[in-house]
Amino acid sequence: MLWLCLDFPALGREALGLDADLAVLGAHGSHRWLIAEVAGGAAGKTLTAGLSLAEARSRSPELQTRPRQPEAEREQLEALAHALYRFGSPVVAEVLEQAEPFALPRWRVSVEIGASLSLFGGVEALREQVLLDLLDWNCAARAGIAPSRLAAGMLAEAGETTPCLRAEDLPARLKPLPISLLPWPAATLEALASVGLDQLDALFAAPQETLRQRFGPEVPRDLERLLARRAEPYRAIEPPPVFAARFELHGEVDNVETLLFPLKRLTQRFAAYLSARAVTAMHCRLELRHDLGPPTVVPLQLLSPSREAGRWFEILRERLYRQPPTQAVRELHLSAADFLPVTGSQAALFDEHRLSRERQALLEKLIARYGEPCLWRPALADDHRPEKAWASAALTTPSPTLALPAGRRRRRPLWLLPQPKPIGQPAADDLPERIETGWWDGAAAHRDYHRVHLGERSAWVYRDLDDGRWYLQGLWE
Amino acid sequence: MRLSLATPPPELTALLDSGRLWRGQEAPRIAAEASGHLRLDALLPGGGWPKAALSEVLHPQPGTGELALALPLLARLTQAEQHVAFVAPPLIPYAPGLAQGGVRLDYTLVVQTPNPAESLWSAEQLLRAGHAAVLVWADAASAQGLRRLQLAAEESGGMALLFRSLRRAAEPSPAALRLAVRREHGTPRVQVLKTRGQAGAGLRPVALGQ
Repeated sequence: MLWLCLDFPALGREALGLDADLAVLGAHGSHRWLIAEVAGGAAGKTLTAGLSLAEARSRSPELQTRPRQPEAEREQLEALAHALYRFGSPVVAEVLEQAEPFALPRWRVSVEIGASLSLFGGVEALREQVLLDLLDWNCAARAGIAPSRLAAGMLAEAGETTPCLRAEDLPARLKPLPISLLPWPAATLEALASVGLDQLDALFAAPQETLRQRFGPEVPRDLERLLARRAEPYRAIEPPPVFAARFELHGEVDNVETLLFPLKRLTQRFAAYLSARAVTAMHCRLELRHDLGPPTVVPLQLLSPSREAGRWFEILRERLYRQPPTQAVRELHLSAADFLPVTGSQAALFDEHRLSRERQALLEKLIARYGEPCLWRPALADDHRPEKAWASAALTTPSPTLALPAGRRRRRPLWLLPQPKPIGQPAADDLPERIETGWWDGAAAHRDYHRVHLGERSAWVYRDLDDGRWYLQGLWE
Repeated sequence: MRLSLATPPPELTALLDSGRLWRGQEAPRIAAEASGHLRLDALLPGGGWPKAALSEVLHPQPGTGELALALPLLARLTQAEQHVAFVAPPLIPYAPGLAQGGVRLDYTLVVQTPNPAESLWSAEQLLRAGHAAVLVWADAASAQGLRRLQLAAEESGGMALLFRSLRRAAEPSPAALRLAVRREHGTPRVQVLKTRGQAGAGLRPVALGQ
């Protein structure tokens, strides 16, 4: 096996969408400490991860803090795992941490890349592509490549960018690294260091049986896993059958600008999910949850299937600018349950007809802006009543029938009034066209239609044979 | 391969057809789409609606004949599988009448907007997204809105047809072509108020039709 492991040192903060000068705190009993580095404290000093809150406050009195949210971390890590699906499988997302004060979680996603190297043109090209993909996520990440997940993670954390491709090279590559890179309890690490075993070469040289007796069976077991001599258990990430992602806001938000970042995050997760499942979607649903009252539900519709984060984001933004939330928002939920398979030809078709793709993107934007009923194609309907002989066809339905129904030879005007308008008796001297129909659906029409001059226009009028009155229904030109 | 001078490369042809490139030896050619009304086309430089430009159609009220004026153009474009759009029409463009006039309804889009500024914005965007002709009703268009629409038509190569009240005739306009539709003795007649060339402008109104 060959694993690419991504280590995300600031995920605890990134998952909450916070700026780099905010501190995220771990808690154990009464202890509080920084779980990620904080940039730009007092006098621009960096506060390192692991610093106690008291110490951090003494150095940077204005420091703002938030409690850690393991659930949000897990969601963000899973989304990143989905994004990495295209590079191989299995994909493993894990948070390595000890339940003890001042523990620093390690957020990692590993993907087995052995089978996909040739697809991406080699290990370097693949690595580069992974890092390029991650640019969109705007997160700190370090990549390591090695035959075991643990070793790949250690290389990543140590900043060792040169891949280690063969298991037999592992001891030599790992030798100079400190044991603090191993995800062991602080007590174990301290005990090992106290007898001079603070670097991996010393640990490799020590008799394994002695290590087992003095420090517990995990130590030799983990070393074997590290060197790819023993299988590493894992639970592969499988994208669930329906998509649901949420983003909790810090406090209540009532302006659209502040919602854009979480929206971007959610659409990015959606795109990663679609890509991991190799499907596309045409609908999704955004829910804006408020402190009081029912959530605001925003159904979204594309005109063709897509799995591009940007396209979903555009229409969401358009929609929210058009109809800003009427109440402050607490939480955003994005969900989707209907998916379509990706067909190769579809993607190719879009690339060929760039213009039609632009057209489509615009129509989606206009739908988001004005609402779906405001964009339509005029269509013919099979009914003799003039007001029912046409339809406004939604753009999301297939093209309506093209041909005029047979036997519909009588001339028709170019304009129709939304409602027939009562008029006085006009000077009608042409032969009427009689329309008598609709008795079956309770909207019966018995009318005589005429083309007349009405003021300065050529009008389509009828006399209602039931009440004898005249109505204007259309204009010819 | 020998380059033939008689047939310019397609890129050049496209530029020439779009009317954005002038050829040195000839008088500037105005690229146009025939309006389908013979007497009117005879008055227009290029013989029809100017391409890549804004044209204005002024008329006293909806239904004077302004849609009959645009109908042959819509029919020809949609039959050539080009997209056209109606933005903020004052009444319902009636599908049976349009279809009888030869318009392919599956290439026809209607957009209803909340106000004239949105109408102009939508028309601009529709042109830029490749619609061959956009008919937009926006009587209260600002001078800036008109210039932007003209620019969108110019840059996209599409035709913008702006429908406004005849009362606007006295206002300055960046439109390449301004037409007025009125009725005389019960039939619509069209008069050329302004063109890019000298031809036709100010002459007496002509009847619509072949």
